[in-house]
Amino acid sequence: MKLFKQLFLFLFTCFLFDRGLGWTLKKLLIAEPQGASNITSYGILKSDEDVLIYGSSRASHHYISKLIKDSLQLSTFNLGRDGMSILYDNIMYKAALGRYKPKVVILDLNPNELTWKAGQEGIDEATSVLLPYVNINKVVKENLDSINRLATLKAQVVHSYCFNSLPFSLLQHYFKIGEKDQFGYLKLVGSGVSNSEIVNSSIKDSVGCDSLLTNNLKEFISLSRDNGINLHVFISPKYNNFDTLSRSFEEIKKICIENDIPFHNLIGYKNGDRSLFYDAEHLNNSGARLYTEKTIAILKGDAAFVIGG
Amino acid sequence: MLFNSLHFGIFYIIVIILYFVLDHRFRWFLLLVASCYFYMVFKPIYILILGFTIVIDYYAGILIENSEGPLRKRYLLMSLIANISVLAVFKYYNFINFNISELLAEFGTKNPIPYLNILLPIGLSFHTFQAMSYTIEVYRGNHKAERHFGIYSLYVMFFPQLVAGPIERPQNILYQFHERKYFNYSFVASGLKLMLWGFFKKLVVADRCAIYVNAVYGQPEHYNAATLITATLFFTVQIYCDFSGYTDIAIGCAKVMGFDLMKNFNRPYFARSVHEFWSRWHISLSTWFRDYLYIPLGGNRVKKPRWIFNLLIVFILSGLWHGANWTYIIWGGLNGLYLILAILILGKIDYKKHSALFNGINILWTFSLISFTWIFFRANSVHDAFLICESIFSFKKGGYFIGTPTTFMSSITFILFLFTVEFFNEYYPGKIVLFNNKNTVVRYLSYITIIFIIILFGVFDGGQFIYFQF
Repeated sequence: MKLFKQLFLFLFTCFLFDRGLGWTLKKLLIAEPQGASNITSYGILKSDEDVLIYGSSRASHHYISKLIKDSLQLSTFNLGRDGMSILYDNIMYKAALGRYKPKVVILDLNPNELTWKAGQEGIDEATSVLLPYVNINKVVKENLDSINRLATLKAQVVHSYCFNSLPFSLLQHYFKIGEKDQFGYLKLVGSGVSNSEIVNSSIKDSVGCDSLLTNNLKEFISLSRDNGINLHVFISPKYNNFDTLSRSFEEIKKICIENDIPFHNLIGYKNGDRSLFYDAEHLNNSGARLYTEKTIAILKGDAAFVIGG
Repeated sequence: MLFNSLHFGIFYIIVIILYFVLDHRFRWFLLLVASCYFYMVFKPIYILILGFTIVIDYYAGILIENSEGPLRKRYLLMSLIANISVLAVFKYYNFINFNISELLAEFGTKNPIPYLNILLPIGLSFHTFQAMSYTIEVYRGNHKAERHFGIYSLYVMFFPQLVAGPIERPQNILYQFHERKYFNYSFVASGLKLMLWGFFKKLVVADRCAIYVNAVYGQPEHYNAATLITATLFFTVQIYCDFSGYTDIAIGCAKVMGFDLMKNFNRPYFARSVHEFWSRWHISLSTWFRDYLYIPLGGNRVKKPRWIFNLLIVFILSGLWHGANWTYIIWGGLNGLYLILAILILGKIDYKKHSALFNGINILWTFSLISFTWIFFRANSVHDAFLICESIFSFKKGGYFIGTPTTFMSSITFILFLFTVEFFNEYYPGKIVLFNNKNTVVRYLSYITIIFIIILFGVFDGGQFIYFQF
């Protein structure tokens, strides 16, 4: 009897502690003034811009939101996040569409988007970043439920579990330590392309396209079409010159063409110009400026589209 | 099955409930079935290897006990050869074959012996050594042969310590399987506390440090001296927390059911010499080598050259026990070398007669020496290990790698927390008591704090325990 009484008391205290901690961390997350999770929070809960940009780190470092805003006279926000795949983008997109409809959406994809975060890896990445929103946003919860039921269940039972690994970064961003984004755009300064990163070859996939990632891309496209949103799919520049691209690239191109979605392959734009690249995968601020201008020109219809690569 | 998985959590709750519900007569069967299931989750077919050694050693024990004269030795040898053969085939065959190939290649000859396409059974060295200690103890007359086949099987397979120890002796554990166990609140509470602390060490400290260590040791050529030193220090903590965390969980698991497993760690990084370190680190293995190899070789009751030889052979074999790789052999050899140098240069030091400053300096010096050996233990190859040593000792320049700042910060914070707790336990035992505090509020708060530290800062990707591979 003593054991059960103590166990009950202990579990009840844990429950209260968990709810209190969960609530505090949730407030901190939403109030975060900068940092990667601030961008995710903004995309899920607050974004109301005309132009939204989705993608991975290549999106967040390649599209200068302010430049697009000033040129197109449309409010713009860059929601790109380091290490994320189309799985994350799609859930973010659905969460935003639950509140309003942007006019233009730029989706920046990696040429190997449909293979690089295949299977459990992509699910785990998206879950780890979106889990804090399970008890905040219904759309996120429903979508994460469909790909990782166990994680969402744990997050609902133990609220503080959603914030695993986050407390230090929440505090860091809360006290504004680290670089601040400019409407989601994160600039990279300097050129650090090392010789070992320089190759002239092809991006090849050893495996076929992941069905979950492919379906998420298709869903992203159909959501845009159904909501009358002007979607543009971009493959932004890489430092290296790739002769042939991947199976994933061909699949992305095919899906875009089938759905009549403008597909812009700019992977070769400013290839090999060290002064414009931070590393082999990312443009620096100067490169991003040139590339964003090119993007704006494409969006305005001023330049010839490079449809079909 | 990994201790740090939801699978284990569910498994353990079911086993505990059934264990206390069942009558004493059937408990051995429950534990045996549970242990088989626990092991078969990794790779079911390898249960046959365990079965093979269990049958051999069970009958060897009885035959040894029933025989007299040279026949006893013959049965013991039969059992030892069977056990060592299993290790040789599954753990060392490909390693030896690879080295033969390399040697023959030097002479331009191709090695015709084929490689075996097999995976190393998990925890093989642990349960093989535990099985060997049984037949040796029966042979020495220190323990009677176990006649109950199920109980003997449980001695080898008891799931809390099956895959990573502690390597038990029959005298300590076998009789406990025969004893009638009753539900004991204080046993359950102390077992759960130990498990909680083990999970903290594994999930919060070891697995968090591992993120940084894996990044640096994965490509050591890219990092400067300061980064490599940091990664090595992180690994020094990681390996301790990973292994002692596992041991705490194992001992705690068994304790809840009323079993006492032997202590395997005793705050090893507070050792004042390498000799003392080995009396505090992986105690069950150190004492195994001491009792079954070092002393039979003559130990220190021989002439100095022979003593040195004994030490070196024990440590090299200890390295080889960890893995079939030259990195482990060098690691073992280095530890042996430290001990030999200490014997030759320093002789015996009575640390109690020296000042706190002297002891403090010795702790730091021992910690540095041991950390250095971990380079060889962790490096992916001998080449990488020497590259790391070269980069460190040539003070290789370059940017300092932090990785993810928050991960780095978490690692440092919880390493400091852990060492503070260990410091007080070492030098001021009973002064700062958290889990065992008499004040209920303080005690509960300390449980809750550790639980929520694990929830908020633990790494939950099911990272395997390092020592499982041995």
